Amino acid sequence: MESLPIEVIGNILSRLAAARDVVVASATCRKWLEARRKHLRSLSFSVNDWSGYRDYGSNQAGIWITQTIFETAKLQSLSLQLDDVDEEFSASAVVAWLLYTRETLRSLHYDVRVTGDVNILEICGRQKLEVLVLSHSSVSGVEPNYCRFPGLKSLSLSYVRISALDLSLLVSTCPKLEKLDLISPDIAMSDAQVTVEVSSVTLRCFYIEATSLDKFVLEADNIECLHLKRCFLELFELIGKGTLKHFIIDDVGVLHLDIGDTVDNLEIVDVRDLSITSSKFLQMISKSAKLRRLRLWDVMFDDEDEIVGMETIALRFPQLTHLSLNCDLRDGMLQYGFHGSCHFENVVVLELGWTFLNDLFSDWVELMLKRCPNLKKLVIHGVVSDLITCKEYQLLGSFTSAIVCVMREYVDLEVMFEYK
Amino acid sequence: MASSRKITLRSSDGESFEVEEAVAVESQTIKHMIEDDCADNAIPLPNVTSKILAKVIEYCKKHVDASKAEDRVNDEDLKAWDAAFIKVDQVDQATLFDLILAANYLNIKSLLDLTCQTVADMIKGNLFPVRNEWLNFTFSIANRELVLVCLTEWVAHRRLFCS
Repeated sequence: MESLPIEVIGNILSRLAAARDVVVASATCRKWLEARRKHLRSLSFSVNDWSGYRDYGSNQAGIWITQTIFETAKLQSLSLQLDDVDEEFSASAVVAWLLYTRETLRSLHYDVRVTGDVNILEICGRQKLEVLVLSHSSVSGVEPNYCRFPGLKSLSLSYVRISALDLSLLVSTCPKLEKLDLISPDIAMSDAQVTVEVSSVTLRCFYIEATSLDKFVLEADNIECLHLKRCFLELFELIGKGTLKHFIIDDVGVLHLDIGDTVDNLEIVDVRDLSITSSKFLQMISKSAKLRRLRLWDVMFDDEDEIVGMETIALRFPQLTHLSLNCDLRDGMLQYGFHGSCHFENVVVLELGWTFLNDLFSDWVELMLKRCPNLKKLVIHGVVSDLITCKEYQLLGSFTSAIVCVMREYVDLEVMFEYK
Repeated sequence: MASSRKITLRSSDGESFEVEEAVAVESQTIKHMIEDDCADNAIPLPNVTSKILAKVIEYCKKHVDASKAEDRVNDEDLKAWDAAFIKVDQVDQATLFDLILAANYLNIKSLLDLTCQTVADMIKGNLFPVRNEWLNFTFSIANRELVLVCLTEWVAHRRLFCS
């Protein structure tokens, strides 16, 4: 231990990151103490790591944090997860922590319960920041001429109050932004502004969760990954150049969804629990000849008679390797059509699921298996928590027997069951 | 540039190891030596014993082979291999620290990261419960200068930073 070079000790302490652990570990000897003072690059103050931030009260804890931060030099990563405390931290202390570290800081996680508002953008703008994660805070008065983030690549706003205009301006102050996450944003709209518009040429990944908005327009010529989760929107529009590769939807209700006409580069479409008025969704992705993975799970089109043709899927997506479908057999009707005899030549993993079980399901499984000549793995997803009556248990029993018969035919197939 | 030239490395205890150039240049130190044309004969590594050098070469070989295959699955497999390579009952503490020193001297970033992370995890798992006196001690320092600095900064920037 003693022969370790001081920079290496700094490397180890940086990986330890949790401030209390770092301070305690560095108390072992003078060399480790010096490593903490001169070579520590990463420090984290989180209520999850140590209850002391709460137990000692924000006043005492604040002094300890100030002392620990001021004992470092050239810190590159600072994480302040101090929201779940009983008392607020003093704004002057928090400002001091940020001012002290801002010249070398590359990554900042800020989630602090503080008296008044601390203008993070003002303090950390025009510096070297590459990653900024802001939580439980508010952003206002963004001045693009004065406050810029020349190096920011990743921006995440969680439970942040911000106006639509400020959001738009903020993104425009980040010329190198590649990743934007909006989690439960509180977006204030003035009367004039009904649409939230975000525009970034460098943006690659966009994630939005837990929001309900009228209209969201994302202009991103180089976007690769788009992920919407637990959103309710009137309109979501993506304006781009057809660079989108991954399109993920999870528990979304939207009236109009538009990802542009060019979808040539789509490789993964993963849809779970989508309510959409127009049946244009399938049309929207139908030109994606490069599609490798497709999941259509609990997709509710407004047009109840919509039948998803297996033939269409097989023809449109010849390179498909992973296919996941589920069905709701309540009405005794399969919403998937089997006309023609087209096969899914390249599908190696097939996932089929039921929300309400009946006899048709095992028939459907057989039909699908016949269509996938090169299948290696089959996963059956089932919801069993709703089963109450004797009849329903019998259904499960007969389904199991039917599947065993099917598996006897396909000996090389790996079969897995996932029940909820 | 990508030749399958063999490079000879000599450990501190005189043992020679012949490796492919692609494996040897995982070490930035060796890479620079080769570029500076110091590698015609065996490269002496006076700070690394044969026992440690053997393990370092094993690591570098695996990582060079893994980077040839472009399948994404290999990322997880490689991580699993790394975990098994550095596991505490496979590698005793003294060897672990020797590996750190070797990775540092030979400038092999991924091995240095792996070994340092392992030590960090060991420390985290083994920290003794801290007696409250120690923490009370740091609080009682009540750094007056520190408080003054905070106040000064706050007063100076108050209008800009706080509302």
